Order: sequence, then C-alpha cells, then structure tokens
Amino acid sequence: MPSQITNYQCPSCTGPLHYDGASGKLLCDYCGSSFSVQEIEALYKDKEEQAAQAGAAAQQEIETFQTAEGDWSFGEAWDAAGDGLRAYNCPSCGAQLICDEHTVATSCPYCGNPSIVPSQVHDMLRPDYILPFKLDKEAAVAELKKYYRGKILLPKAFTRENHIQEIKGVYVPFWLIDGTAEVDMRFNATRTNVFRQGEYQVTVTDHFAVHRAGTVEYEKIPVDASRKAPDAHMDSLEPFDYGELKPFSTAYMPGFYADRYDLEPKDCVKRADVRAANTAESIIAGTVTGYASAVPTGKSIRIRRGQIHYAMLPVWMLSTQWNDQNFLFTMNGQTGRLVGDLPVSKGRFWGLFAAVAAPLAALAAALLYLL
Amino acid sequence: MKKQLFALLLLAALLLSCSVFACAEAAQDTAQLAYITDHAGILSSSECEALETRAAQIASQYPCSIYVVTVQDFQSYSNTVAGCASGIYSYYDLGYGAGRDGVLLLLSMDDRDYYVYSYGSYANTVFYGKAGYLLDEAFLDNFRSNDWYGGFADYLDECERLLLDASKGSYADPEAQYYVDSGGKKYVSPIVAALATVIGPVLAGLGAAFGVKGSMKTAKERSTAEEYVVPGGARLRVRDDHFINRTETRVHIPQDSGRGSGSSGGGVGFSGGTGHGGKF
Repeated sequence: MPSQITNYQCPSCTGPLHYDGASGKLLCDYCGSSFSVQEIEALYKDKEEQAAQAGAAAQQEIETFQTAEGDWSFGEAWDAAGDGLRAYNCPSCGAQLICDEHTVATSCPYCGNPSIVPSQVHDMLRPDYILPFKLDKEAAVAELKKYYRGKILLPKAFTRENHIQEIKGVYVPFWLIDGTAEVDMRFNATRTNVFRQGEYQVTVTDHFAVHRAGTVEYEKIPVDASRKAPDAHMDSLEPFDYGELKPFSTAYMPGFYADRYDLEPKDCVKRADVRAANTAESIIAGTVTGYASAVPTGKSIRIRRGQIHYAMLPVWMLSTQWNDQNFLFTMNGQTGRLVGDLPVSKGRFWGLFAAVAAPLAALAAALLYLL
Repeated sequence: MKKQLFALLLLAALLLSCSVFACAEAAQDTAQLAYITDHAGILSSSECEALETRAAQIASQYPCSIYVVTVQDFQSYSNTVAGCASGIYSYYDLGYGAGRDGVLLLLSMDDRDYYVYSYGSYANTVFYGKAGYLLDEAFLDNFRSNDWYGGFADYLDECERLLLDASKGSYADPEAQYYVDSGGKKYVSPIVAALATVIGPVLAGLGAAFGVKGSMKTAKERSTAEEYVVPGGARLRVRDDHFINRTETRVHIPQDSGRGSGSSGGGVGFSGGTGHGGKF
C-alpha cells in the first residue's frame, strides 16, 4: 500500500530537499543540488496523487471502523490522547509519525526528513494560494535579537537567560475574504462664523443635514483559519504582499510546518466583516468635509460578502521560556515584521517613572521657589 | 515722552488748582505724592489733613500704602480712568517697599468715575476679588450722596480692616489665603504647588512608563482593513448637503462697564497693577 506521506527527495542523491526562500528553489541538504518548484512538482505529481488516495482510503477505513466497532470501550485517557491525532509512516525511515489531524507538512522526528501529507490539501481541501517563505530561520533569529534592542523595560536577565526553545517556519492557513460594504450615513453638520459687532460677539451658525451613501470594495482581508494561531499575532503581522501569491503547491512546503484549516469560513468571516465595516464607515465619514462639526445621527452598513480564498501564508514562530513563562514571537516570513509580547521589569518600570517624575518635580519646585 | 507729557499735564493741573492741599505741598517738587491728593478740591484742608494722618498711620503698620487722588477729569491725563490711576501710581513711584505694594482710589469728578488700583503682589492679594467689592461698598454710598470725607474715611477704615485681617492670615476672598503670608511673602496655592510638584510629574512619569510599557506588547487584534480596499473601490452614491436653518447668538461684551480689570490685568498674587472701577 502506498504511503500517505510524501518526502521530497533529491533526484540526484535521494537526500532530503527543503524549500529555500531566498533562491525560490528546493535545495538538497546533502549534495547541494537545486531544483525549481516546477521540476519537483512534475517529478512528484504521481507520488502525491497516490499519497492523497492512500490518505483518503485510510480515512475511509477509520470511519468504517468507528461505525462498526462503536461498542469497543477504551479508557478515557486513551480516548483523549487518540482524539484528533493521525499516525503515518515515514517513507524514508519507516518510523511512525503521530500528527495532528490537520497537519499538512511536518518533519520526521527520527530521520528529520521533511514530510508532506497530500491528502490534507487535496480536492476540496486544496488551498488556492501559497505565499512562499522569503526569509529563513537565521533572519528570524536576527530579527528577534533586533526586537530586543532599545527595549528599556526589558529585564536584562531575559535577554541573558532566555533561550529560543523552538523556531518553526509555519504555513498558517488563512481565509482571504473579498466583499463590498454598503454604507449609508447621516450627519447633523454646522458651519460657524464668529465676529464682533460693536459691543456684541455674534455667532452665526448654519445647520445642515448631510447624507452620504456609497460602497467600499475590499479584497482579500486575511483571517487566520487555525485555532493554534493567535489572532492578535496574526493580525499584527499584516500586511502580506499578495503580489507574490502563487497557485498552491506542496513543493513550497518541504522544510516547513503546515496545518490545514480547522476554522470554517463561517467561523471567521465576522472578524473580516467588522474590519470592513469600520474601514468603510471611516472612508464614507471622511467625505463630510468643510464643516465645523459633523455629528452622526444614523448609519447603516451592509456587508455583501464576495469570494473567499484559501491561502497558506508564511509565519516564523519563535518560542522562548523565561521564569517559567512562555513567550511567543511571530515573524512575517515574507516581510520580516516581528511581533510578540515582552516581559516588563518592575524595577525598570518604576525606575523610568522616577527618572521622568523626579527631575520634573525638582524643576517645578525650583521654578515655584524662584517665582 | 509719554511719561514726560503725563508729568507735565499733572503738574500743570496741580499748579492751576486753587485748592492745592497742604498735605501734598511737599510732594510735587520731588515728584512724590502724599497719601491724600485732592486735586479736584472736594476736601477741606482739615479733612485732608485728618485723612493724611490716618493713611500714614495705616502705612506705618502694614506693608502696604493707601492712597487717595481726586481729579476733575481723568481725560486730562489719560484716555481711561484706569490709565489715569495706573499712570499716577507709576509716575510717582507709589507703594511700599521694593514691591511697591499699595492701593489707590481715584475719583474723577466730572463724570463721577472712580477707580481702585492696586499694585504689588501683597496688595493685589489683600484687595483681591471679594475685597474689592467690600471696598466699593464702604465708600460708594457716601460718594453717591456727595459725602467725600465720609467716603474716604470709610475707604481707609475698610483698607485697614482688610490689612489687619490679612496680617492674621484671613483674607476677604477665600482664594487669596493660599497666596501670601502675613509678612507679604508670596506663596503659590497648595493646589497649584501640588499639581506642579507632585501630580504633574507623577502623571508625566506614569505616562512615560506606561507608554514605553505599551511598546513591549506589539501583538494586537486589528479592527480596520484600509490596506485591503481595492484602489478606486470607494464610491459615493449619495452626496447630499442640505441647508436647514441659520441661528445667531449675540453675547454682550461691555467695553468699560461697572467693574473692569485694570490696565495691567493680573489677579491674585499678581505682582503688577490691577484694579476695578465704575461710577459713583
């Protein structure tokens, strides 16, 4: 029976291949050969198809087994541990890989070979686009070190003692949502003229009823489709340059991790709707100009959703631990934008407070004394 | 030039006056003024002398001098009654001590104008706010019935009472008590001092510390999506600006009514000159 997993191996030496963002090619870790994505796609087309079919057959088997043997009783712990997991055999070393049920790309913990699960991105599950990684692991580490610099509230011990525990290049599943926002807004606006007339200050106010209605078309608002990806981190990594989106191919994945979506579009569109509505409101309200004041008296915003695209976007995830706390940093694998929450030294916080407050207090006291 | 012209005018007016007061006679040559200067000739010599003695007695007890000047028409000296009062005070270097603290009551008889001008931080504090009204109340009823001596006497009494209270730390206007001690030394309101030395720096320090702390957290959910608006994708279908009505409000701003501020502005604790005036 064919394997459900594909290892991309070097056609020259059978060494593992990984996708190199800088060159846009797949490189062999052993002999250094490089191959274009198209070459590897052509070579592995049949293998991937077979792996996808094997995956579909295995899934069918699991479902049949669960239906037929529904009375079997496992212990609770076994149930919990087994829930949502999949077991695959590494085609290189034969070891068993236990993966999340949404895993698309991983690496074998025994032989280290990058492994792709084609059935997870087959047919209906196939993403429309992939944005290949441009920046490598070294760039992510360098960016993190740069991120620490100049942070005066960062405990010194953090930079000294924390060690990056894990760096993973992950293709995060995103829904890219198109649509149109229809906005209708009404305002009470005024124009004011103040002048002096003899012993009187005269204020003349013209009142207007202002009506604006229009549409704002938007394209590909990204909303992450993975429960594992923290929303705040994913939002903060924007924007991605969609000009470099490629039609999806697993050939961009070797060397990286990827999960397929576990949040359906219906679970995600509301976040995009809110963002689209806020933006459209701000654009339409911005056309009310030339008034001293404009107070909104009514608004109606209707979102007409358009196409939803499924895309894999590149994110470096760097996790560190310090003082028994985990710190996650994420970096846009295309632009290098890095975000993450840093710990704050209480001593430095109050030191900064004192450094600002004390001289100001002294200066104020001196000025008061002199005056 | 303006100062010289003012001095000449005042000197000429003083020389022309038929009732040049005995109590002021020594003052003119040396460009000094007595406490009571009746240029308009509304007081008798004895009245003038009595008032002068009283004013001198007050001046010897408190770090503040009290003056009375009457003129026939303030316009002979200045365009405004306030300008006339401040001009006299300034030209004759009136006041007590280095701060030149003092209060001057000017009467201009032709149009029945009066002006109370105070100068120096201590005087401005003692005669601040409510104290000004108390002074007015003390003399206006007398002046309205042409009781000049009684009005001036009441004015001096009220001034002394206000100075006495101030020396005990009690000021007619509650706001004033935070500004000076009985010796006339100027202090800043505890509220202002607290704001300037504690609350302001504390807020600035917290603002800076929390501002920098905020920069330590860069992962935030977004609520807008400007970058994803299609170029040219924002289109207005309705753009209607409908005129409803026009409203007009008028606020009367009197040029120089009842009680106005003096030529130099200022307020409690202000070290320059300030004052108020009106008709009697």
